[in-house]
Amino acid sequence: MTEHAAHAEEIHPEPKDFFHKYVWSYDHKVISKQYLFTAFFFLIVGGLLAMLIRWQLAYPFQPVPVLGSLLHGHLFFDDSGAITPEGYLQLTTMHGSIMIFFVMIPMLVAVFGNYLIPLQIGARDVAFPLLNALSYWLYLPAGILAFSSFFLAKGAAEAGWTGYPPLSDVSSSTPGSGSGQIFWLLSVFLVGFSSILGGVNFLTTIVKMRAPGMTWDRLPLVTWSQLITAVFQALATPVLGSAMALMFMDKVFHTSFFIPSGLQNSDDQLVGGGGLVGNAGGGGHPLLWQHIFWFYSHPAVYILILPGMGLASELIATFSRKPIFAYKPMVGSMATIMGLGFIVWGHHMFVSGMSPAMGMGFMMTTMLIALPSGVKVFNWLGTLHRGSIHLTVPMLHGLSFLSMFIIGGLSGIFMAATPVDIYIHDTYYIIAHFHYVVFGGSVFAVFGGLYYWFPKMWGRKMNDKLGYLHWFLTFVTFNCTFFPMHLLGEGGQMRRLATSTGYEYLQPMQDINVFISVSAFILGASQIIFLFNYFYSIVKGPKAEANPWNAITLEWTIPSPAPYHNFDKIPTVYRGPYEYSGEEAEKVGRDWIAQDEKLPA
Amino acid sequence: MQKRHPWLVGLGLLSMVGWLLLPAKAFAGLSFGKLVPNLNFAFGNTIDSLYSIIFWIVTILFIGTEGAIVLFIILYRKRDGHKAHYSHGNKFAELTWTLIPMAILVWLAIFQQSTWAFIRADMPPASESNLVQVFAEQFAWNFRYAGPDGKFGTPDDIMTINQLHVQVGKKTVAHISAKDVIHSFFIPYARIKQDAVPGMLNRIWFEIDKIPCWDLKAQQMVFFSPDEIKEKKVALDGFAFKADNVDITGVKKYHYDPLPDTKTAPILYEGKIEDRPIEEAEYVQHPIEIACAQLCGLGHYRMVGYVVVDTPETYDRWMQQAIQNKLRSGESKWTDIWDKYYPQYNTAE
Repeated sequence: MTEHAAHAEEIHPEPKDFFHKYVWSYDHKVISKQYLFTAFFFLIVGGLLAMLIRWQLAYPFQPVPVLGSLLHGHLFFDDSGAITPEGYLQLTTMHGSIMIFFVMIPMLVAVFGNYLIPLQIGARDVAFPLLNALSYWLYLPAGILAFSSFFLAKGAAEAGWTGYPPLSDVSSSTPGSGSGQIFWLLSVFLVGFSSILGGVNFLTTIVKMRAPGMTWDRLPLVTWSQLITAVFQALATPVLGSAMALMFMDKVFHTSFFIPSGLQNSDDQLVGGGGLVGNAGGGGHPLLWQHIFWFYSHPAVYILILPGMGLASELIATFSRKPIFAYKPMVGSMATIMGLGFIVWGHHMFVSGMSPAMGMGFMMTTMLIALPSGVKVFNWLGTLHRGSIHLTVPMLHGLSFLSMFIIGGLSGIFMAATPVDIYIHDTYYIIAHFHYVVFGGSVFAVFGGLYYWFPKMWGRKMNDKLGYLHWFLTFVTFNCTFFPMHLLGEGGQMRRLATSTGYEYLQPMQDINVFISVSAFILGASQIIFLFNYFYSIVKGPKAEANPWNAITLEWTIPSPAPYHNFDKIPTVYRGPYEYSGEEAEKVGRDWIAQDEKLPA
Repeated sequence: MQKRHPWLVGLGLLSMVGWLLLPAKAFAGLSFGKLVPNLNFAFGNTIDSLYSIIFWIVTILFIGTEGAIVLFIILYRKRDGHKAHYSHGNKFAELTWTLIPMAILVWLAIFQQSTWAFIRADMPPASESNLVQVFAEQFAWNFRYAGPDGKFGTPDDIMTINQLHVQVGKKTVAHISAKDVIHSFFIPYARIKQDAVPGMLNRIWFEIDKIPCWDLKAQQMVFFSPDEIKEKKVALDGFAFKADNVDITGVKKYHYDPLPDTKTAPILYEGKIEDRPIEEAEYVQHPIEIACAQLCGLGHYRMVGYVVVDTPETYDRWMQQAIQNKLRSGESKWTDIWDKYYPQYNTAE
């Protein structure tokens, strides 16, 4: 460690030209911001798709205001400006795919991981800066591929973000399963590769580049969460890549990995790999895809929440002015989630036809994985208990994370129970559940993180009043949007239906659909406040000091914004990351003491 | 110095019940099992009560944890003279909130295994059940009955589209597969759902114990037990089901109207089916819906099928008519292909 620290003192000069400073940059902070702006773009795209989805569900096959009249006859719209059934499937498929692969995973992992890991462990950069740049430059073309698929003749992929074959595999089965699906496969493959590179990089960085004294039990929980997420990324994402590659071969080279014998198209013709008529393929199995896909995608759910847990831990400890309650169990429960996270994928397949005996096993592991999440919730409550709670804008988001994650976690227990899952599987209950986890949990954590680290990233402060307003509107309309979806699920409304009004038994709930949509429109519009506040403050916000929140971790010991080389001298760490209100803090006359601060003799 | 805004948080947390602002009629009586009543007494009630058990467990946890958040925000808010308590944890508390939830979760998992096994692993014997093959295709449900010879894949098979007949109180075993893409066979009223996967035979069973009918006076759906229906005059034919759009949200008004120029209709009364004047009908035999719960293409949203729940008398009547009319038997090209590739599924039990 000492030898390494000495080596790190050789600082590379900061590039001066625009290209190397902002475009092909090796600086983890610049790459983080590249990810941030790209993810913002996709957040807007994914959000607009969601607005269109909600329009269609509230006012089925009615012309869409503004967008419909501008784009009628193009994209998802028919000549009257209403959304077509296949357009609706493109909307849901791409909303899910974009939000997961191009917004949330990059936001949680690439933005915060990149920015915070080196700063929190006291390093000058990540272990492999070139790899880091490459991972962004794989992510961007992947995003462009996904986005451009909307403009293909038959539109984007339509088989859902889960891309179940044969629907996705056989090009004649739905318009989007032609080139749209191939674009989707390629873009997910590329973004997956980018994710693997990021994971390997962060793992190496955290294991090898911690500053002297930064022992495992002094590592901030944000970094711990990134470390555990990186293991997921490195081990699970290659499996996703293999799924994409196999389906690509099915579609392009007419193999039959996911095509069973005797599969027919709508004209009763036998079809083989990729939907080729007369191809004597077959022998594959549609469930093979589901196993491979969920072997990645269930861990991906934890990739979507673990970094959020890390961010929230930071916010809750800092603004309760207390050490995190039970630090080691907090780390242990994240590690347990990782371990169990690899053996619960079958709960997505309870009604797929997988052997009922497997269902029993997966029910057990799924019930058990609720435990570490529960322990974390209790520990956050323990952190709040007898704290001095500062209701800052980031803290409100941290608390929202906590309260919404509780709902998302509890509703998961219904699904884990196989008999109950029979009824609620593939209904809006599921939509409610994962939006409470990913939006209610992770998005609130991301907002909290963006507010909290804004001074460090940009050297300026965001406007508090707009921050409170944005939080309040988001929190209220989020709940109005997603809570009633539990009721739709109880009433048996299926997901991915272009309209539920064709079913007699779903009729009584159409008013709820309308209410949800109106709430969703306000929720969507509220995000303009955030985007305005964020971008305005980058340019015009008041200048921020080095440590505006009186926080403890290493990133707050350096100036705001963080300088190119991060630390003038690699710091030495003397204590844990959450030493608020303790004896040591008292000795320096504050309620906090920085991780690298030497006590006066 | 940051301003204090505890009221803001309070308001925000209250909004979790924001759905109370919803139109009251949408929520009247809306809870699990109320909106879509369970008609499957064999295991649907167990599913509903399992839901309730979990609901009460999580409600207690929800109120406890969310209540604690609100309480702590108020009690431990930042204020002059108040200092945070320095603590790294408490072993007793940690053990308590690890072991108790673990016990609850493990109990829940074990408790449900037998229900799951009853529903999914054990098929009722052929002597106690009717067997039907379900083939899903874009975007219709095909049902095949063995016909008089009791064998599948023979010329006397009976096939229907989007119409499944089951006998009230008798178990139905469904052998489910698909022709083109994955669909999912979902009967909300019977609490069953099973994916229909091409190249694969999935087996489920269910039972429907009440007969859905349409009340002509109130113009709404009602459910009768086999005993109750004996005293009702239920028309089996002679009426048309209409759905009128009410507004642009797609809400519909449903009603049955007598077919024009129809004087008499077959009416079930006291266990007998007789042609009677159409005015005598109090109810119409009304099917419940089969939904597709797996994304299957652009017509996914309209892949509706129907289950007609029959009394023994109406079931026999329908079966005799089907045999006489040779309903779709031997006409389907794609089932021929199915029978060629998967002959073993036609003899599966």
